[in-house]
Amino acid sequence: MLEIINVKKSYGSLEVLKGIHLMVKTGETVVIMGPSGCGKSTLIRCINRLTEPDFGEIIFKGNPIHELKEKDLLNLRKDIGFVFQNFNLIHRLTVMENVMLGLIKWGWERTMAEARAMKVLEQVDLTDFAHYRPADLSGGQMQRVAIARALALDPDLVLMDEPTASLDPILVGEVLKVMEDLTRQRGKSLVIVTHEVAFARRVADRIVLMDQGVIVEEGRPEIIFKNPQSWVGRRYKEMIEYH
Amino acid sequence: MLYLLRSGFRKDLIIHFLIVVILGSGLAMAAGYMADNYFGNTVSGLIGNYGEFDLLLTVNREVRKSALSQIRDILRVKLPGSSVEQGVTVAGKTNFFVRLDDKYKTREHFMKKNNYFTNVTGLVGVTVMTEPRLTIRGIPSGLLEEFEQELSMMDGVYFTYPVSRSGIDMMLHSAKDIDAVTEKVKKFLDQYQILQVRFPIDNASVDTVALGEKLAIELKDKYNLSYAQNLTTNEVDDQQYLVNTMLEMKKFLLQYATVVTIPVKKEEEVIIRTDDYLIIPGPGRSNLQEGESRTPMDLKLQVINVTDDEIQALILEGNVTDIQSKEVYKINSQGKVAMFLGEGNVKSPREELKYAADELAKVLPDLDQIFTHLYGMTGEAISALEIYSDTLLEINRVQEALKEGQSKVEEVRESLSQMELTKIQDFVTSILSVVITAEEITSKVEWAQKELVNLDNELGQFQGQVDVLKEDFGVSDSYAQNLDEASKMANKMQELLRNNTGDILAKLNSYNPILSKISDWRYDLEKLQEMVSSGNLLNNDTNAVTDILDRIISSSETTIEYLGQLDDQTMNQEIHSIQESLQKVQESDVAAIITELGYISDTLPKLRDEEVTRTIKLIDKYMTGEIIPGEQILISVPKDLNIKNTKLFVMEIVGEPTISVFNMDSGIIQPNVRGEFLRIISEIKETITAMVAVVVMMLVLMLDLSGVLAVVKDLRKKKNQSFVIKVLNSEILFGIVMGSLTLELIFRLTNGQLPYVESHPGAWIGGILGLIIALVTDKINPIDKKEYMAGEALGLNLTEILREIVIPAGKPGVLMILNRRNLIFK
Repeated sequence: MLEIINVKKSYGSLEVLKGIHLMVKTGETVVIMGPSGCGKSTLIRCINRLTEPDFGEIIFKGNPIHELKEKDLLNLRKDIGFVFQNFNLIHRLTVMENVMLGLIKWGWERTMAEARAMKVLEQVDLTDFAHYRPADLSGGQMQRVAIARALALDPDLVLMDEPTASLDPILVGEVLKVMEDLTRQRGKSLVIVTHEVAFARRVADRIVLMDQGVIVEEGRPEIIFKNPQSWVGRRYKEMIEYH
Repeated sequence: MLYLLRSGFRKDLIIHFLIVVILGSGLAMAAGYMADNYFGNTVSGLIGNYGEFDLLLTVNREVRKSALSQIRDILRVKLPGSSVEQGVTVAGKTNFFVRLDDKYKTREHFMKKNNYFTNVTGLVGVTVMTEPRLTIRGIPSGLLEEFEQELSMMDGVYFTYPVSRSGIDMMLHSAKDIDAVTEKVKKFLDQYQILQVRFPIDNASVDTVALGEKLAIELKDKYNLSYAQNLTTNEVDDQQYLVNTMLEMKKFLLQYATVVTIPVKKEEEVIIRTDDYLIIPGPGRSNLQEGESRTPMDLKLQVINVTDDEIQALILEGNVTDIQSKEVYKINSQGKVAMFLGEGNVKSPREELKYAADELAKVLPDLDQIFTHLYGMTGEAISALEIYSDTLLEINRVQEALKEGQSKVEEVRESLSQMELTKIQDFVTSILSVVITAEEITSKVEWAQKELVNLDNELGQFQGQVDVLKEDFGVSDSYAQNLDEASKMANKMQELLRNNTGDILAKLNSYNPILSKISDWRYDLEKLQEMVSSGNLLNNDTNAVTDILDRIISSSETTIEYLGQLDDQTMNQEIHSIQESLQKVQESDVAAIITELGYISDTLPKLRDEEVTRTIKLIDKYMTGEIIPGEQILISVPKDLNIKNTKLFVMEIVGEPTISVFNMDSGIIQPNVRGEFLRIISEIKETITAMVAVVVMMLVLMLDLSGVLAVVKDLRKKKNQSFVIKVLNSEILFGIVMGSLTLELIFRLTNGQLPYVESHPGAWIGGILGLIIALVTDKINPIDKKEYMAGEALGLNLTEILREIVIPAGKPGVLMILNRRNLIFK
């Protein structure tokens, strides 16, 4: 479904991605982990070109995302849901409107859009909050709204950029539950950037460990966390053992 | 910017642009109209409608009621049919508008207009307001009469009259004639030009009138002119007075400044020029070496005069009181010692004057005492002389008594034995009393003599002290003048008193022998009286009595002889003359003199030497400039003469190479006051319109476009593009273009204008505003990048992001209102 070939990205003289190669199969859940600043978020944003890669190829369902004109790119984005670390909800809109915005944009009738929005809100257990403004919700609720918004258009690929990083530890659980449910849906590929080791062990089909702009190790979680080859993997193993 | 123009948001921008232009123009025009209306009404309130009034009388507000009453009386009596209306009061002055009856709109009445109202209480001024009118100013006085005659004969002119010494007012028949008459007047004035010759201000005085006559004749001959009329007069203008005053001031300051004189030995080769800098070392410094730097404590001098024998310099930095050394050094342009010149002599009239003034302050109380004492002495002297005068009569009586006494004594001596003792005793007693009286009188005379001697001494001391003061203050002609006069008066008084007291003393000295003789006589008479009283006269020593009587007779002869020599009448007259002189002295207002001396002391200018020198230099700077004119020659010549080319010839005729030659217009048509008012109001309207448009533009940029500019900026940063594309996509270019276009179009539509910006003010100012807002757009209207990114992630295009996310979250403005129709979720 997604193929990333030798993608590079620099901010000035700082090379953040140093030639990343990654492949995500349909229905696969890939969890990207690594220390802060290793390039995880940049990589995930390059996938739908929220950040422009400097070099390399990104192929999504056979489409070269890196080459697409703006119009085609926008069309493709409806198939790629994105969940941000800081929720990125539009504050003037209600929960329902936030979820409906993408649907209306892509031509859904308003009533249909409302029904679809309610459905995804139900998935994240927020139907009672449909007419609330984001400012009236807790962090966990806001992130669940963001997940609902990303799922509203039923994308083939969902990208999640540290969705629990901004949350109070008490609220992390509710979001992880929603995410875990999501991974069980068939045919939907997920690329999740997270530091939640236990979550990763549970849901990931494959773990990708990054350090200093390169992938240092990847593989199934039971292998990675049992016999890590990289120092990053060893650190995660230590964390698991510690807990 | 290109992204926006390529996106669907272009339509939103165009609609916004049109709405802003229409709205901004409407607001600006409304503001301009209100300003125009307000100021127009104000002007009408201030000066009435066109041609409504003829005279404007301005009086002090406090007396406006009585002034109005007086004006009405004047109009009723002297200008019947005319009327007055009270206008506005501005800055404490009330205006009264006078409408003259048509029969008074004549040259004669307008020339006398001030005379009618001279006595109105609180009158500040009378201004002519009659319309239609044309005013010409700046006509040389020599042409005024001729010009008026010519101008009064032009078509459309009702009458003319001269205004002050250089103007003519032309009253016209109709407002329609203004343009035609203005053109004619312009043509008329264009026939003439004035050749003006200015002399340098420091030029020696010349007979400009005669020189002007000569120059006019020469010019006419040389350039074959149809005419050349000398218009030069001897009138001195204010500027000339100013120049004269400054020259006097400079002269005074030069007298007043401290001058350091350095003697130069002829054999020494010292190259010093005027304006060179010298120093006198400051405290604790001496024997300066060549190349040593000048310190701030050193006094800096500037050479003003160099002769074979000496160098004179003024203090440029510092004050004479700072001088602690006599050494004077020349310094070079780097401020380092170049050479030792010698020891200087410091002459500071100002300090000497100050010293004298300080000393005077100390002496003043003593001086006052001296004068008070002098008054006392004068009074005593006068009293003594009065007594002396009174005693003259008594002296005469003594003289008579002594003569009588002498004959009686002789008689007694002859018949001493036959006389009754009682009679002799009575006689002796009576003659003794006469003698005692005579003695008292002469004692008084002696006292008067002593007093006058004392007075003379006191006057001597007084004169000495005044002379000391005179010497102290004699150093400066300017300030010691009054003191000098006081000294002269004191001297005169002293001379007068000394001469007169000399005469008095001489006269009084002549009485000394008389006093001596009378004393002897009294002694003998007392002895005789004692003998008579004791009864020894008849019984004992007749010889002794005879001796006494002989001595009395002898001394009385001497006394009578002295007394006879005195010229009583002359003496009396002289005494009275002296009395009068002393009274005059007493009347001298010494207190006033002391006050004046105190005033001189108090008013000495408190200037340091450097300030004096700086002031002299400043005056020099002005005096050598071309701004202040000196004397001038004015000659009226035909317009076709190229005055510039005549300069050399004029110099030759005038004989002065430093003159300046100019050409002047023969008169200037003064703008119509009302027209000027209306023009100013129009400018105010244009300016207010422009200001409102600028404010609208500023608001539009801040409220509406700042959010869009922020998005443009973000897009520019995000994309990797060439420099040219980055420039084209920059928020700065977008801001400048939008600001320029919008404001220029508003300016064009509303006719807005701003002072000092002649060409396309809207484009310039709009561009600058756009630039400023673009530079600070993140601070004014920062976009929420998280929401923006969420929009991108959902697949929203730029237009949709702007409409759904950026503009609704931005500042409330026209764009937000217009955007409502595009919102998915309103």
